[in-house]
Amino acid sequence: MLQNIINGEPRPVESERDAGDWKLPVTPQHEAAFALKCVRKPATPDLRRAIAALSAIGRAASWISDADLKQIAASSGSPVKYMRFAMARVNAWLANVGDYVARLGTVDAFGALERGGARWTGGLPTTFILAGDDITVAPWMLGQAVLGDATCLVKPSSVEPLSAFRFVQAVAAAGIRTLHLVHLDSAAEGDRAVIAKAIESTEQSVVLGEDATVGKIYGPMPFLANHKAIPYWSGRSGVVVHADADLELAARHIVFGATEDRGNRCISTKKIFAPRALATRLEALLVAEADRLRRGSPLDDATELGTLDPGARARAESAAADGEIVYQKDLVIARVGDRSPLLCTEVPYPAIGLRYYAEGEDPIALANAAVKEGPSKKALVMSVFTASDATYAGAAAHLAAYKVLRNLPTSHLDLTSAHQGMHLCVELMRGKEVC
Amino acid sequence: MSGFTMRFGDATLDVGDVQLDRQPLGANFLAMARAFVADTYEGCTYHRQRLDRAGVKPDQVRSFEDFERIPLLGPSDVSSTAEFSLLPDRMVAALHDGGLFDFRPEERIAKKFTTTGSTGRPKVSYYTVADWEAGSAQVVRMFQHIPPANYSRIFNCFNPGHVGGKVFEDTFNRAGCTVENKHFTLQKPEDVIRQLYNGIPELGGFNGLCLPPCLPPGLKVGKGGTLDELLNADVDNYIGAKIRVILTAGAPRDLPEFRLKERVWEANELAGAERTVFVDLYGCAEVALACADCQHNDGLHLMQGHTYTEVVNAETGKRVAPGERGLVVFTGFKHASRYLRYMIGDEATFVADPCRCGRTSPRLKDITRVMDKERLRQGCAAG
Repeated sequence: MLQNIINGEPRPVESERDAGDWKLPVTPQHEAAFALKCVRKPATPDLRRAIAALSAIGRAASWISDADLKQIAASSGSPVKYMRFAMARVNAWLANVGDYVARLGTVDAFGALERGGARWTGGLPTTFILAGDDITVAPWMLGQAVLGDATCLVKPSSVEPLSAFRFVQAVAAAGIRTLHLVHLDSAAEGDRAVIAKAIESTEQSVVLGEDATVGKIYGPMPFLANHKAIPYWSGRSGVVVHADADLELAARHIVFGATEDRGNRCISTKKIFAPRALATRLEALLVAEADRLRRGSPLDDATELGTLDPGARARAESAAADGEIVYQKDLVIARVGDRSPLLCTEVPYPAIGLRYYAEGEDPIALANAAVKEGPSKKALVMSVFTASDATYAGAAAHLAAYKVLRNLPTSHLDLTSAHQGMHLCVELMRGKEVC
Repeated sequence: MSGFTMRFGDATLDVGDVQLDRQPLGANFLAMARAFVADTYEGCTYHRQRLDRAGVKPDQVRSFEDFERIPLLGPSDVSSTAEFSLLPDRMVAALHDGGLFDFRPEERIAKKFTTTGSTGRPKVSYYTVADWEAGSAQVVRMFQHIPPANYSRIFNCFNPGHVGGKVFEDTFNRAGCTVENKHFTLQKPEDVIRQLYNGIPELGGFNGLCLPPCLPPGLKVGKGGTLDELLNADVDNYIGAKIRVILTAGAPRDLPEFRLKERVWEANELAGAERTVFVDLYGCAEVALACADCQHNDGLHLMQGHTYTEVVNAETGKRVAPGERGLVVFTGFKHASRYLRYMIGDEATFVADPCRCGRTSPRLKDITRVMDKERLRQGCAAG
């Protein structure tokens, strides 16, 4: 049974609500108030303790069971094969989290992070709003929160609440009581007020979700001068294919990046900028790659593309309505113009907008134009397919993106790299000069 | 406050004497009850006529059983009579003549309370200075199990116009505490909690709270900032860390959906502090605060002294046996408004078993409103 976990203890469930396949506890106002007391209780940060706890969790790799993964797969439609792969990556990151921190700085004898000539410490009251059903998000983001010693009120996703619950359970069992998991229904007015109060009562907040979701949370808030807002926006990730690219490799990675875990992640491939001259061959390769995907039950070990959400499919079809369909069995690929929603926004579904550029057009400028109206004005990940070092270097220099990859799928899962330009654990700390 | 002597005729009673809670009601208390009946019969036309109609003469009231012959006074009786009716004739005449200037200071009016007139004719109760002092002494007696240092700096959240706003300020100031009232302009819990956070920093802040426990479901009018609201607003856990004693009154404290004690104790644990002590007070503005729980929070002890509380059968007017339910009936030994065997409108279980705290006074449990419910919902009744 899913419960709130506050101050390391699971809380009794007084009543429940239905959230899709999940039964979630209804959180009374006083329960959220107690969680806030815990969040604001002064903490003594110690990065060494956090690293030890997370490493142990990662090494044991038992905080979430295969039965849990199957339950999530059955609920979300994401293939269990992907779940296992993603969890192996997460557990590897956790087990080696000391190495990850070592890349960021040096842990001193007092448990602070020495980095860039400053000493960084955490322990700050934080509101954490999770969203979506990407199974890596909760353990990775909350792992960052533990490293940052942030004392957090954590609102798990209502779509996939199990991974957050299991991870907070494991962290509490490891003796870290800084994550206070409180199920809240962002569709309910009372719970939205609790979220707003939590943000006002904490020194920083991390909010994930589609742009509209993030906007709904931060939009009505007053300006809080002493509050640090860390929104994670829609990814708008995509691909630039240059004329010298290995097209077979590009097509394989594009389809993989667009469909892995149902194409609903911020690092999923959503758009392609490719030379018009390569259109015929590229489309043939994309269709071949798409047809090669193993469809089936999410619980089948071989399945690469599981069950897709009909609502998201409808959104994808609507977004592609002005385009010319290239493929639409399940993955949607459409040739589109510059203002197409497939290029400029994001649909939580395997859907790709294909924008061909003519000789004389700059694909980097086109890619940048597609994100200029987004809140961050950047894509989360852009992957550049080219054989040329110089071309790649030029693209990396000028693309409006937080991360630029070369000849890789945008969904390439590297938990040790910065996300949206940040190592969250550092963002959750504050530095001071020690002269 | 111990040592305040209440007088009617030749009878005297030390209202602050904790032995009143540890021994059966004796001759001294009976003498006080008899003297009060005689004084009321003699001095108050309204009550004299009621007793005459019932065929009860004061000299026939020689025992607590005889006391049960006195007719019950209901809320509707009080609502249908003029506000001066319950006052002694001498006081009414003086008021008509211009005031109580020729009365001794302790005989003059100290307080007047009215229940909500918006939902019917208000009930009115006057207290003389002596009445008010006696009521205060009785409230302090309710805290006999708590070291005074643990409630020496009180934040009083009752609305200033509410009986709780006045009685707790006066009582605890006179007992030696500092009392700061919730500012009358503050309505939102977040603002009230800010006043709590900022109060008397030189002395380490407050250590006692007086406030209504909650706004029960169905009620529309609050009596001040409630414990439920303040706990929800108290993100810095001031209550858990600093408040040693919480006095509640005016609404049921132990409604299961609010979990108030448990929430405070959980906050104590989070702060690494000892458990806060709760004292729940029960009574009414017409008479005084008449009952309170002890450290075991297992029913409300009848604080016989300034008040005499009975639980009676509605049909017979006689006291119920231990374990039985009946109507709560208060008699306030007041010199001003005379509430003699007054049914507040609540029903309770009468418990006579000895309490673990050592007091032998009976207790009330499971108090529920059975009369005048609409007034309770609409106004600020029951407190």
